[in-house]
Amino acid sequence: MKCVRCLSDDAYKAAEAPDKSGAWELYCCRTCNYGWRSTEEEDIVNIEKRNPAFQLTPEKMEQVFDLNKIPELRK
Amino acid sequence: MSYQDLRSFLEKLEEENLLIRYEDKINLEPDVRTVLSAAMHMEDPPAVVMDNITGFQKGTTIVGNVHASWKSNAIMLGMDKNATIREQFFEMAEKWDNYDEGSVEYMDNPPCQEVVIEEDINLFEMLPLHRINKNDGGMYLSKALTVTKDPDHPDDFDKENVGIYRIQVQHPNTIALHVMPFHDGGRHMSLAEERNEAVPVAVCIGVPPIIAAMAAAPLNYDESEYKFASVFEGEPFKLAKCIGSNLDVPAYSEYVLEGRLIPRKRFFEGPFGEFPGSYSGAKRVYHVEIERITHRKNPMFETLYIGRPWTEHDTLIGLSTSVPIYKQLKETMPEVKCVNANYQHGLTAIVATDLRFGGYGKTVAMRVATTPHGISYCKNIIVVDGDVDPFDMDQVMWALNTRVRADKDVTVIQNTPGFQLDPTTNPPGMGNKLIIDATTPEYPDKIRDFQMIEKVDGFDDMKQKLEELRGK
Ligand SMILES: [Zn+2]
Repeated sequence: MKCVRCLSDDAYKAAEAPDKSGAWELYCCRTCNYGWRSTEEEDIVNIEKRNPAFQLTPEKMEQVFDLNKIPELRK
Repeated sequence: MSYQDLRSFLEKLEEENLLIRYEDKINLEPDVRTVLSAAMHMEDPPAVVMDNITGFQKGTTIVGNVHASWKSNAIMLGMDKNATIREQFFEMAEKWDNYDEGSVEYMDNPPCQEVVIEEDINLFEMLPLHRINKNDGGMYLSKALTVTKDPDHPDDFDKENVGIYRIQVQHPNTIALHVMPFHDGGRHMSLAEERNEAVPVAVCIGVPPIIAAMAAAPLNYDESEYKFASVFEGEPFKLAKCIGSNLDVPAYSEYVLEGRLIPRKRFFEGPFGEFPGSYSGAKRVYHVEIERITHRKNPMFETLYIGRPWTEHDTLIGLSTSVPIYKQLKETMPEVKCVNANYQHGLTAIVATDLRFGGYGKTVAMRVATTPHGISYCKNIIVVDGDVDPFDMDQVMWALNTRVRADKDVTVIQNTPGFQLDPTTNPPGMGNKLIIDATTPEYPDKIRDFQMIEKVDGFDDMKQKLEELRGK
C-alpha cells in the first residue's frame, strides 16, 4: 500500500488495536520508516492534507546524512 | 527516603498532590501529547496517569510528567518538596563528590523479568506507543534508558553506559537509535562496528526516577550511572542481568527490550520535535532488532512530552546540566558560587561568581565556553556577581539592568561550535558565543562612584518569622 509521506508503495499494516476492537490499525513504510495510525488527524493520514514541509521525495531522502559515520573495520 | 521503583515514587507524588489520574477515554493521538503538555503549564506540574486507552485492554497504563515539577525533583532527591531550585542544586552538587560510595546489588528473579516474551514481538501492540509531536516521523520512546557495554571491555562495569536517547519504533520488532557520536553510547556503537559485531542493546522503560536523572547527566566515560544513582538513594542500586546478554538493567524496570545492533548499516529516521521547540531534521541512524521483551506484571508505560518548552525534559535535565559545569569551573576558579544552565539544556548559562580582579567575569565566561558541555551548548553566557542568585530571574534582570555597560561588557565570539539541534546554528553545529558580563567591575576596572543600597538588617530572620506566621 501507499505511504502517506514518501508515496512509495512500500507501506504495510504493522499492527492493529490489541483489544481486538478494531479501533485502529497502524501502518509502517519500508522505504522511509514512517509510521501512522488510522485514527490520527486528517492532516496526518490524508495525503492531500498533509503539510508539504514534511513530505518526502527520493531527492530529499538522498540529502539526509549519517548521524554516525561507519568506521573502518579493524584488521 | 529512597525510591527503588517508579511505582513507589508515584505513590509519594500522589500523596503530595503531585499526580493526577486521568480516567476519561483517550486516543493515543493527539490526547497523550495534549494532556501532558497542558499539565506542564499548571502550577507545580503534576505527573499524569492514563489508563483508559482506545484500542488497548483495560489496565494498560501510561504515565508522563514524572519529573515535571521542581517539587517532584526535590522529593526524588530526598528533600522537602518546597526546597528551592538553588537548594536542590547544592544538594546535588554535594552528592556529586561522593561517587566512590556508590554500589550495586543484583536481584535474583527480578521484577522486570516477571513476564518474558520471545515470540511474535510487536512493539506497537505490546506498548501504548504514541506520536509525541504531530509531525514526528513515527512513534517514539522519549524517556527510555539505552544500556550498552564497551565491546573492548565487556567486563568493565564502570564503562557500561546508561543514556536517554531518542528511539523511533519503526517496525514491529525494530527500533532506530539516535545517539550523538560524542555520547558514550555512540562511542560503544562505533567500537562495535569496528569489530563488525551485533552487540547487545537493552532499552528500559519505566525506571526509578533517580536513574533517569543520572542517565541524562553528562558523566565521565568510566563513571557508572548506576553507582551515581545509588549515592543519591543511599543504598545499593538494584540490578538485573538481561536474559540474553551480559547487560545490567534496573531490576525494577517496568519493561526491558533486549535487542542487538545491526552493525555497519544506516536507516532513515525522523524528524522529531526536540527540546529547542523545533523539529530536528531527518538523519540516517542505527537499527536495533528486538528479540525479547521482559516486563513486570501490570507494567506501566512511561513517556515524556518534549516540545515547546517548558516540558518535563527541561526539568529532568536542568540540574544535571548545571552541576557538572559548576564542578568543572570550580576546579580552577574557586570564586564561582553557582550555575544555572536549566534553560534548554544550557543554551543559556548564568554563572554567579566573585571576581579575582578586573575582567574576571569574562574569564569565567570563556571557561564556561570551554567546558565539555559548554563547547557546543552554552551560547549565551551571562555572568553575575557572587551574591546574585542565578536561579532568581528578578535578581538576574536587576544585574543586567544595573551592571551591564554595553560597550565594555557585551562580547560576541563568532563562528564557534554550536549545538546542531539549535535552529540558529548555520550550518547546523556552527554558532556564536554571546558573553554578557553583568558583574560589578573590580579593580583596576572601574565605574563612576556610587553606593549600593545595603541589605536590610535582620532580613533573613524576619522573612522566616513572617513565613511561620502565614503558615499558622
Ligand atoms: Zn514512506
